[in-house]
Amino acid sequence: MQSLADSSQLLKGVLDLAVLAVLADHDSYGYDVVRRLRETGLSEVGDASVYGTLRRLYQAGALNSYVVPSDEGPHRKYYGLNERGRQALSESTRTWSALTAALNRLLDGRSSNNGR
Amino acid sequence: MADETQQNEVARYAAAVRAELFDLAMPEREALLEDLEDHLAEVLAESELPRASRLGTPEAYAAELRAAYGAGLRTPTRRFPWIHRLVGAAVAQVSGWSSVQAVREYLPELRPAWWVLRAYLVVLVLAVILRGDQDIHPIPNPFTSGGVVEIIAMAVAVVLSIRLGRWASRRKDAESWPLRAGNAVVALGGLIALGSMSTLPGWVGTPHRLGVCPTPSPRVRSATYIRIPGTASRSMAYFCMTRTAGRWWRAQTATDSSRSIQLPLTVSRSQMNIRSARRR
Repeated sequence: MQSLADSSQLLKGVLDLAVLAVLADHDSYGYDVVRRLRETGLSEVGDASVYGTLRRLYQAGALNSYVVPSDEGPHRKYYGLNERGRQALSESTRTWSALTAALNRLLDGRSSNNGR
Repeated sequence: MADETQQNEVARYAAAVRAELFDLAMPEREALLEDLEDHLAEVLAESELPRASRLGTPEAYAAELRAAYGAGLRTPTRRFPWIHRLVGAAVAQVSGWSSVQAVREYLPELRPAWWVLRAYLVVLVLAVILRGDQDIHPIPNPFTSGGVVEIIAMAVAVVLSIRLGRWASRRKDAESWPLRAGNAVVALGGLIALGSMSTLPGWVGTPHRLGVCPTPSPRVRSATYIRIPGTASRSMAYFCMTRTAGRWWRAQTATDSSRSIQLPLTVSRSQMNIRSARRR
């Protein structure tokens, strides 16, 4: 069993939401999504995790995709949110807010108890 | 920089990842790994770091993919898992070759050609079945009674086949198995029909009731009666073919009901139905 403090385990659960949020900003291709997530501070996000998440969201019908040829380097497959993706994002955002609010209350309460 | 070395590196790495995931069911595996190569090339193109520190080992990469793709993956139960591992490794190795990848890239462009060919084969097989095995010839043949019907059937079949093909390629879950099975049956049936149509010397059946052809010279190795429908009384004619030095010759005119038959000088192979008799 892995330790709870392992942030990559925590990250896995919210990667869908993170990827949807990045794509809501503007359409993007695989490695660009990885880079933007890392720039936001999710430095431990793995390349394979992002690629797998993109493919799964695409298969689930939350994303559309198109190929943009590039003169130098490989063709890039861009992903963007469709109606279903935007819906999933707003639902997940609500769930996330409720969850973090609850956890914050829990953690705050604990730390003030400790402070007494 | 997508230079040659890097392409090979990507292909090798992707092949190793595919081999790791070979136990997954086919449609899911394809959906997951569809553009793995492009993605890996992207990662390598945009990073100065060497591959190992960028991507890690293929095994670790595959494990991470598996975890991220998650619930959508199912592993079918295999009776001989080690065979699948072996086959998987071989397939992954071969599909890693750059030449194989080049072919895979342009194969989708040949799809419309297959749709048309498929329509032709369906009509051909139907024609052969409906006529019985007596008279296999290329279709559509406007000089036969069914010619117009064949032309119309071809046109309808081509339209239907193209619509079916476009419908199937628009669907996300690749082609369903009934369609694949149908394609295989059509291809196989078409091959059999084409094969029996074109290989005059290869057709071996029971010797015709007229008996074995008299062979005119010792060099003749075998002789065959040919029946040509619609050329004589009782709607058939016979003549004797011999095979010499790999070629077929008309050796001798045979008779039917004690009546000599004037044979056409040229008889297309497809008009013939052959009964072969080996020389004793």
